[in-house]
Amino acid sequence: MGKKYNNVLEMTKDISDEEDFNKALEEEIKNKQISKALFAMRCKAGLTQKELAEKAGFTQGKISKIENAFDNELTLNDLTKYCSAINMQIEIGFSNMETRLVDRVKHHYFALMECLIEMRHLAKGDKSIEEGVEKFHEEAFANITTGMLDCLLKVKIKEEKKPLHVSSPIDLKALLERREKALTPK
Amino acid sequence: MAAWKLEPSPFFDSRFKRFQKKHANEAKAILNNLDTYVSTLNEGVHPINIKAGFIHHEPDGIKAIDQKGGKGKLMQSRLYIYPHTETKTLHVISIGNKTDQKGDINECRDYIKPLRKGKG
Repeated sequence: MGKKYNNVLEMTKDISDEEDFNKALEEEIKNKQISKALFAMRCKAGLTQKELAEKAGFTQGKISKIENAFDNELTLNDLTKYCSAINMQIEIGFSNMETRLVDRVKHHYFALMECLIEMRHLAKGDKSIEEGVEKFHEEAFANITTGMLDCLLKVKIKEEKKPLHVSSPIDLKALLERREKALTPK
Repeated sequence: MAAWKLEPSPFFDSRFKRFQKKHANEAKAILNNLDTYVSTLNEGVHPINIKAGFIHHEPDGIKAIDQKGGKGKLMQSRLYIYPHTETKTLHVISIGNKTDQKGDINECRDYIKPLRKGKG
C-alpha cells in the first residue's frame, strides 16, 4: 500500500518540487470554493449540466462557466438562479474578521433560539402542527444536549482538576434522565 | 462520514514530474479539476453521479480527468484515476497526453486488476 493523502494540495506539495506551481495551484483552488460547492450540489441533486440549465433558464455553457468561475466572477443573480434550480437557497452572513470562537458559539445559540421561536409562531392555532413542533422541540433538545454533554465531558476529562465555571451548577444526572425521557416514545 | 484519501500509484510521481515540466498549465488545470472531483466525493456523491465535461468514463470504472477550464490554449491531457468506493480511496494512477491514451488506459486497467479482485 502506498502513501495516502487527505487532499490534492497535500499530494501535489509532496510530489512537485516547483514552489511557484504549488502556490499558483493553491491560490486557484482557494479562489474557486463557491463554484466547487455548486458543482458538488448539482451532482448531489443528480442533475446534469443540461438538466440544471433548463431548470435555471440558462444555457449549458453558462452552467459550465459558473462551475469553473473564480469566486469573484460570480454574480448574485447567477447564484440565486443556480441554487433555486436545485432547491437550495443562499444565505449570506457577515461577520467581523476578529470575531472570536466563543462569540460565534453565542451567535449560533441566538440564531437557534430565533428559529425555534419562529417555528412556534408559525404553528400557533393549528393543533396538529403544534404537536409536531412540540415533538421537534423534544428531539432538538435531546440532540443538542447530547452533543453539548459530549463536549462538556471531553472538557472535563482533559481538565479534571480545574473547576468548571458556569453560571449555574449543571446537574448531569438530571440532564441525562431528561434526555432519556425525551427519547422514550410516548 | 470518513473523507476520501488519495493514493498515487508507484509510478505516478515520475510521470507527473515529467508531464509538469513540459505542460505546467495543463497539469495545474487537471489538478484543479481533480480537487473539484475529490470535494464532490467528500460530499457523499457516488462516482457514477459525478458528471462534468472534464470527466471521461473509461472501462473498468477508471475515470480520466482532463484540462478543461484551464486558462489559455491547452493541450488535450488526461489524468487517470480509480475511485475505490469500498475503501474510499481515490487511486491516482497516471497522467499523459491524449495521444498516449490507449496505452495509458491499458496500463491503468492492469494496475486496478488486483483492486477489483479484492472487491469480491
